[in-house]
Amino acid sequence: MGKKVCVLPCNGLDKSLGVVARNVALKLIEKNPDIELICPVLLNTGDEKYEELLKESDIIVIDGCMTRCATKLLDERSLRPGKKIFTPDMVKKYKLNPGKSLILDEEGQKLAEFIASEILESLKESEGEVAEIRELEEIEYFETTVDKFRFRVPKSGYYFNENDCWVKPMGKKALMGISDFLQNMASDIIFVEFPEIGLEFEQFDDIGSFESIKIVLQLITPASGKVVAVNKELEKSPELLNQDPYGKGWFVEVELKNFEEDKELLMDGPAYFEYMKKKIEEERKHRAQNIGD
Amino acid sequence: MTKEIVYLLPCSGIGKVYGSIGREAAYIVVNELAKGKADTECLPLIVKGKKEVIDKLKSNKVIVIDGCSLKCSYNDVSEAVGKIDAQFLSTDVLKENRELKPERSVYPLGENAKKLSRKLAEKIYQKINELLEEKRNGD
Repeated sequence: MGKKVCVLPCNGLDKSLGVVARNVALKLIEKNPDIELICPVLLNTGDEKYEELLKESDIIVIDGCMTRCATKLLDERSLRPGKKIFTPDMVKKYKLNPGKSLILDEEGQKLAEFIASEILESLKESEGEVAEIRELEEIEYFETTVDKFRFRVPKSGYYFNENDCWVKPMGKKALMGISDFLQNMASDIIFVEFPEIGLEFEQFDDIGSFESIKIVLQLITPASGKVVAVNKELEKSPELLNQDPYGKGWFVEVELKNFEEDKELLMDGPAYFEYMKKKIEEERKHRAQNIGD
Repeated sequence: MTKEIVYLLPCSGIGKVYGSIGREAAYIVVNELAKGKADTECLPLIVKGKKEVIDKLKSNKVIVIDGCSLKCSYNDVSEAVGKIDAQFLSTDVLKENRELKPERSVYPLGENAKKLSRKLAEKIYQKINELLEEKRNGD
């Protein structure tokens, strides 16, 4: 579980070190399919599919010459790379100098292999820190207060269904949980029931439940996928669902099956915030009516 | 007299098999079939407005090769250079050779994908000869 990683290489059609940059990117996704590849040409056309991905990811930029097209593409979007590789620097480091041909010779192939391994090693080293980083990750919220209750919705990175459950995609994996609205409605949660690891499910399936002092509610999956982990902490401390529903109170970790399609039926943060406010208002009216009756 | 060169601009095609077929075809043309008659240029350099590259393309024949209907190469070159002399879509070659359904691997390309690349390269090579002939005849 961790932040997404994507790689944006040089297009590699001008100089052999550009081809090395491109081949490094291809080797990275071959060895770690969780890494997403950004096509520099498609990105330049302003393709919207990369917008969210770039905002949510650690970006590795690989340039092959001084023109630094890949870096410029990010600069134009006011984004900063998590890691920058400049293949001419690597020529010195590994003492491998590819020829001029755009079809890589043996030295070029070796150089790409070494750079890819170096990047993968550095990702492994930071993997152990990922969980911690996630917990410390600052979430920016929309917020509304009704009576003594505060309702929050993350501004970005989370998607919601109408059942008040969220999915936070991170590459091909995702976390799922319940919204602040749902935990407020449920009141103090005292017990959780998890799905089996490996369970495959469709969008809007019921895969787990949590019980409060008032009610039993289900986690209705916002997206299709397979359960790969559950938040065991909730067994010891179910109150995390109330205290931190978008962070430490995550419910399950899943491998996403078809998120791009599932997303069409979900709300992003701003849309869900509006939806939730209407729901709160309706709930208030309903309660007032019940008291009146 | 300067030697006439036809410039090939494949889409990046990174991570996608049809784009990679287009790029592989460009390599085959430049390094083998039309060695000395054709060369490649890099799309991001053009869209970043590198003047010497754009000028070179304006005064020579240009072929774009795309891997999907987004036609990045066609669109970028049209905008930056203002003219295109021929265009190829690698999926068209598949339609003519349905028995060669390409493997999913892009690195390295699978056997069918390589065969499709060569077939596309041959078509491009034929077009290069036509374009050079046109140029010799003063368009």
